[in-house]
Amino acid sequence: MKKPIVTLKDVSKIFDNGTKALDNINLQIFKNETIILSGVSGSGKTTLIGLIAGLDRPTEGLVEVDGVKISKLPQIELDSFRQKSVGVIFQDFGLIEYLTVYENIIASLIPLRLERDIAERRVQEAMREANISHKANSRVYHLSGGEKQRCAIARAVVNRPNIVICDEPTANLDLENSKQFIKLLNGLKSKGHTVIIATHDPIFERLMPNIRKITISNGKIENSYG
Amino acid sequence: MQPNRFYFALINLLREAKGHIGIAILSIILIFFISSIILFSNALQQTILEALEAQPDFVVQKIRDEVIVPIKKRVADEIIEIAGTTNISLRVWGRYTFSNTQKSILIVGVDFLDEQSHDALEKIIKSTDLNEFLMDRNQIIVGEGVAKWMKKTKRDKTLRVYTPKGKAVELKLFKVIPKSLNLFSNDMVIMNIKTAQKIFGLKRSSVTDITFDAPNELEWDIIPIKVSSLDSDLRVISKKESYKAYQEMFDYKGGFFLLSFIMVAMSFMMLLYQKYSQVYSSQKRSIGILKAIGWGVGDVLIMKFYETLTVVVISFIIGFLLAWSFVFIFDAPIIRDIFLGNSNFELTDIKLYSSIDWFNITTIFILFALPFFMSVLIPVWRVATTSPKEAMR
Amino acid sequence: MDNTLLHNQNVIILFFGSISSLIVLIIATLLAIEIIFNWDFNKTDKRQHRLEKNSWLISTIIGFIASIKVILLPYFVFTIDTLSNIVPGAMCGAGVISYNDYGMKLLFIKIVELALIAFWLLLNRYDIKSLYRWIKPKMFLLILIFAISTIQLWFEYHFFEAIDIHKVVNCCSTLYGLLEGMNPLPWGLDRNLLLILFFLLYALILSTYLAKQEYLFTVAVILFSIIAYYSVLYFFAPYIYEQPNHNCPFCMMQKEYHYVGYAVWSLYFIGIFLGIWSIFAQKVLKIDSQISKRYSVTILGIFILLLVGYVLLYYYNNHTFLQEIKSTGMIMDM
Repeated sequence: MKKPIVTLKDVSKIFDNGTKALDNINLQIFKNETIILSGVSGSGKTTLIGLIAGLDRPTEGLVEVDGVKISKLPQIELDSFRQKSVGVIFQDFGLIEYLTVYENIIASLIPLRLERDIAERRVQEAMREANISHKANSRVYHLSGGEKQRCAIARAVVNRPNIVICDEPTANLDLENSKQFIKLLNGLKSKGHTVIIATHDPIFERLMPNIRKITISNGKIENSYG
Repeated sequence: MQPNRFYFALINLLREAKGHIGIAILSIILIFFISSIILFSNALQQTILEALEAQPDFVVQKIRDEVIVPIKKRVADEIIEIAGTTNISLRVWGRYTFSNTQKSILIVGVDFLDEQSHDALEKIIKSTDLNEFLMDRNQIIVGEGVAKWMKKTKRDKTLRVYTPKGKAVELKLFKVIPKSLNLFSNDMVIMNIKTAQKIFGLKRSSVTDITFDAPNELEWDIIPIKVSSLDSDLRVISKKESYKAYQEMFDYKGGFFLLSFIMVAMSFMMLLYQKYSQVYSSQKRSIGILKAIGWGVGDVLIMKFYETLTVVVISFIIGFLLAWSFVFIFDAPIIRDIFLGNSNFELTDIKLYSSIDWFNITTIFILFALPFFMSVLIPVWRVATTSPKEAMR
Repeated sequence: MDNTLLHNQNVIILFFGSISSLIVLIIATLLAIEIIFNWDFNKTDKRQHRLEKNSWLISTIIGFIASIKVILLPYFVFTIDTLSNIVPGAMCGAGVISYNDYGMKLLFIKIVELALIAFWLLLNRYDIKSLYRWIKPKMFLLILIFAISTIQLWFEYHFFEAIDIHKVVNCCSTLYGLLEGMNPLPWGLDRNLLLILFFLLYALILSTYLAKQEYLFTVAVILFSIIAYYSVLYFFAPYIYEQPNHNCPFCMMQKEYHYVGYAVWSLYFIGIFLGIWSIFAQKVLKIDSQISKRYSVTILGIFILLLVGYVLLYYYNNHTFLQEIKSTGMIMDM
């Protein structure tokens, strides 16, 4: 039996205003798997991703990622968990607009306090992988949607996380850019990353092999197959 | 430059400058304001104390019913007898007010052939051609302020004063005292002691005060006692006492100013608190992103600390340099009027001693940086503990 | 015009600093009390998260206070030194600070306060690394710091309030001079023995550091701190002043001596502090403290080199060492 890299057990999330975003979720994701979380907007996809990425904590239940029970962690541990284990690509890319591509990417290495050469090499490598090296010194607000997306990928992988999480990655992309993005994701997959994609874009099912699809509706997992 | 937290702090400042510019400008104005006043008053203090240094060590006056009365010349001979006294000189020293304009001059009558215990006077006398000056008893040496005022009156080169009996004395301008000695000489009119006696209606055998020096400082406490024992009406004023009185006065004024500034600083703090809360809440998203990609609370705190420190140091340097040039290059136009402008002769031409005093600079820096950092503590902490969820909004 | 120093510019700045830091310290203390009562690391509820956030505010505040106090301590010493121009009889800070009973205690409290704050910050670092294992001791320490800061302010007020600038005080030569054949050194030591002990103890610190002998290191550091103080006063200070019987700890902070006293005493206090800290870290926090020990040994080494440098400089210029003058008459003339 393969060891799961992500385990959610009886996870619920209730927001401050009383909305129940997630209701008793049980889920296991295995190493080197590609998962698609699908569902209409408001179904709880983004909340679920936030929990796995350690951006938020559940109201109830256990979240274990990469061997760490992150639902039990204090804030400082959660910070270092995010430094090491996950890379997130946000729906609107989550880039800091006034920084350059290079600065956005190296920002995620700052807390690791790497040596200068190592940090530099890693950034160059990530930019090459995401095919954005030629824009290294452009500020983000000069970039096109596709370029921003590639910058976000480079940033997500630069700290070499085991898990890469994408939130609606193609929502702001045209078809051509979406295809390129999927090509990059396939590349990540072949390098051993576990990839989790929250999307309702059918293009992923068409273009990515061996994926498992999980549908969420009203905060509950409806079906899980693949 | 290797990107580190300081690098990101600088980039934030440079590219998101609009949030900080208002604060920086306000800070510069504030620092300029306090620095100019502190620099000016300290330089003035320094100048006065230096000028005081040139005064005679002791001045002896005769007091009766708390009023200064003429003192007999022969008292000087008795003072010479006291061991340790030198440079004993006689002088007529007093204010003369022109009834029509209410302006007053300081009349200083000295015996030009005596040794002077007043170093500044000694200097003036040495640079004067005495043969020519003493030819006419009514010739005068005047301070810059008096000279300017004389130019404005119709009689350019002369000054008419009256004796108590109503007899007019026509004083003739001989020369003007050089600028560097200006602080105490601005409204001075130096003349032959006999003329001064005439103006104040003194007898030939009387003067207003006797001055002398005592080279050995260890005897400074005992000599006044010896002098007073000559005559119970004699009052001895030592230079040290006036020195201390001035120092205390400056201390008192400086302290008062500082306390009022601390009041101003309080409102500055309220303003900073509000402004920074606003600036930082607009940065919530970018901080949320940094948190989401692994930055901890400590990392953000340190970055924000660098940011604040940069704003503080840069505005401090600019404000201080502006104040320094305002005071020492442009001669502090407005402050000078507030501090020195009086109805009599305006002391507008004093040369101030410019010096860099690190203790002063530290004082100003603490006065500014402490409230600044104190008011950003909570806004900075709040933004540093931003939830990484903000990145997903 | 009253005679106190409460309207003196620099004294006002000192109060401004003390009062401001006490105000933010009150906030920190209140938050700390809440943490002491409600902290439960195993909980992940909202209150616990708020307490975690608050603990960050506390460390931000202590960091702020530390930077103020680091500036204000030398500022205080410098102020005391400037006041010696106004207070009659005082030639340097020693005369002013001995004006009343509060002075020396105030200086002592200020040093202890700063040491505790530095200690708190170091503890804080290890506490965060070790996932809040030391959070409650840390918060109790904070309350202690608050108490000391309050006492400090009280002493500061009474010290400056009581100084009458018209009353004559003693100068340092009567305070620190060798009076009437009385031996000021502890345990009946003489100067030569003192000096030998001084170097021996440093050698002991160095060797126990290399041999990782914790307890001996502790003993050596504590003994060294006492012996070094007296050695500076009664052996090295005369070389700094180039006067055989000038033993004042304050005069060397004046301009004539290039403010070297600030360097001497900072090195001394930081070196001793790090030594004691590293023992604490080793024994109580159970962390390897060779690095802070190394800093301690290095800083004390620089301290010694600086002092020995003065002796050598004197010898180079005069081709002789200073001779102690035993007659008591000398002191009064100095």
